[in-house]
Amino acid sequence: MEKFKILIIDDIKQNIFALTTVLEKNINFEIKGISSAVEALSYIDQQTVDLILCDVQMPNMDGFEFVSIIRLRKKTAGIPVMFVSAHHKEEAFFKRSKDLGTIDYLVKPIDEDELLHRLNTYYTFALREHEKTKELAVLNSELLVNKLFSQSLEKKVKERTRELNSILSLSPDGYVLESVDNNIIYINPALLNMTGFTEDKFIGKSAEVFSHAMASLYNSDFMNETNIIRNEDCEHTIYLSRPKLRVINCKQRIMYGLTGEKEGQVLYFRDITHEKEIDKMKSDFLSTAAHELRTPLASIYGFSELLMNRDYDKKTSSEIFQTIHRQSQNLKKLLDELLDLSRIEARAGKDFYMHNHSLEELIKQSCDEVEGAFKGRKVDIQSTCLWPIISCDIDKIRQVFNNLLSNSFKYSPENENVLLQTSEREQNGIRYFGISIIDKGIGMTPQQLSRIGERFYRADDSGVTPGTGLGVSLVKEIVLIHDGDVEFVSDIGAGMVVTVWLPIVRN
Amino acid sequence: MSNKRVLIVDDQGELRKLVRMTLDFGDYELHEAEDGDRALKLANVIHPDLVILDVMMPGGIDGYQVCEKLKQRTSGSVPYVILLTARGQKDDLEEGKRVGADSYLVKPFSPLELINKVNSVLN
Repeated sequence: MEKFKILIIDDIKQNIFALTTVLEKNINFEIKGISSAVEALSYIDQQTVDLILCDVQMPNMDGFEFVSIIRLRKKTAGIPVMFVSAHHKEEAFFKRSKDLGTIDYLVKPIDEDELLHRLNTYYTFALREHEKTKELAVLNSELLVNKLFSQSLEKKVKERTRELNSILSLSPDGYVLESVDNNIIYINPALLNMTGFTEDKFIGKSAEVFSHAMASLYNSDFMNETNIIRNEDCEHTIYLSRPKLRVINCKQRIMYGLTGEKEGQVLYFRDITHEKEIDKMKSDFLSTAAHELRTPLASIYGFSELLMNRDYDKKTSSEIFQTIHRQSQNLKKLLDELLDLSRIEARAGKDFYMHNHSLEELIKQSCDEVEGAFKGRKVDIQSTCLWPIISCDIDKIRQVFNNLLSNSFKYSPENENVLLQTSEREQNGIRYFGISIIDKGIGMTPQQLSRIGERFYRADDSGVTPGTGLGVSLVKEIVLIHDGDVEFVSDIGAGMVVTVWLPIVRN
Repeated sequence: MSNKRVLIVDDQGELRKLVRMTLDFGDYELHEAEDGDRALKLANVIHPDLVILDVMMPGGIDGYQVCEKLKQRTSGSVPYVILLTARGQKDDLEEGKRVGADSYLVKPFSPLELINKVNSVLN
């Protein structure tokens, strides 16, 4: 508490002076004297005052009037007042003073010691009161902070719960929560979907019931044990045969509370069927690729060793050299196409340089190139439609038509030309331009047709027709990245029609 | 004494040609087949002493199956079988052993090694 401020109101300045002299003995007192009640009103309006010593008899406004007014105003109503009076000793005055709630009524002449003593006592009380109020205020603010804190905590917990619930319900992975006494308390929709279970069958039931139900779905070819739920952190692979064949990665984690005691368990189920399939496809692809690379390599390796160790006549050794050279070319082509394919797959077209090109020009270039490679044979272009502008990577699309046109020549009789026709169609509001390449070759059986585009698949595997088995895979990948489509129509002995559909930018 | 008969089975014409050129110096009577079915049919006719057999062949029947059938034959002599495999992995070798193959070569193979093998088997 700062100084204890005492205001003395008395119309006689000597009185103010006398009282000030007495009160100044307490250094904690700060004394202010004002000689008019009206002035005092405006003073206490602006300043804080801890106690007022007020004369009763004053001109203009007397002490009673003054106190009545300050009691009416909120800011000043609580200020303790002591009356000091020389004249009014009647009982009625005391009573009036009491009614106004003054703390004392002193009569002049004033006993100085007595006044100081009373004020000191009052000051001590006021001081104590002040400390208490301060403590209370601190307590109150602490309480308020606590309340706000717990409110915000509660809000946060609610928010987190909502968040967690929506995450768990949206998660494609399965979650099961178990309470500390091994009862199922939550199963998310993904797990229900994975297993075909209904939630209400398990909530509140023991984990054993759940484990048993899971075991009924197991694929017994891969699963020996039936109880997967353990009382420890672990991870294993689960094979389901029902509702359909699935491979699932299952992780279990014990949840611990703040003090380290077990609070429950989380079971996590991730469907890794697709990943397993992709893994298998990748390793199949690799081993097939390695096999395909070994075949030309075997020729090169074997024939060159024969050449080094034996003497052949000029004609035979020239034949062998040609074989080695041809197989080296095969090997190179195989490697190029393998790299192209894996690059296209890995980059998903990100390194394609898409620009608008005239399809007519592009097709004519391709025809020229392929006709050059198959001397004396021609591509007959029959186009009734207006050639469009398409958005494409010109090198990649040229590769598409070079591959398809070469195939048509390779698999059709020596004296037959290849026909190229055009058409248009609309699908889902997008206009496509179709380029059909038609040959009169050996064609394909429906079984062969269904495997076309498979990596390394070759309808004619006799080794008579050169090829890698990757050409059509590449064509498909490239056209797909151009948002187009490839269709194959054929029957055995009936030739083949390959149609490439590409989106039209404009005609 | 007539020449020993060798049956070369491979779907790749150039590989058959390589094996033929390797072994073609008058000591052996060489025959070729381009798939499993033809190989079994031909083996019934010529009764080979040795079959050099590619494992990965298209068509319904692969080298392992051909080998198994050749080794199960009760009539006539059972030929010696050398498998030509593009893979040298443990699984493939075990499968070869299971079907009764006597020996194997991994592609690409050395023609000189093949001659040594064939000579030691047939002489």
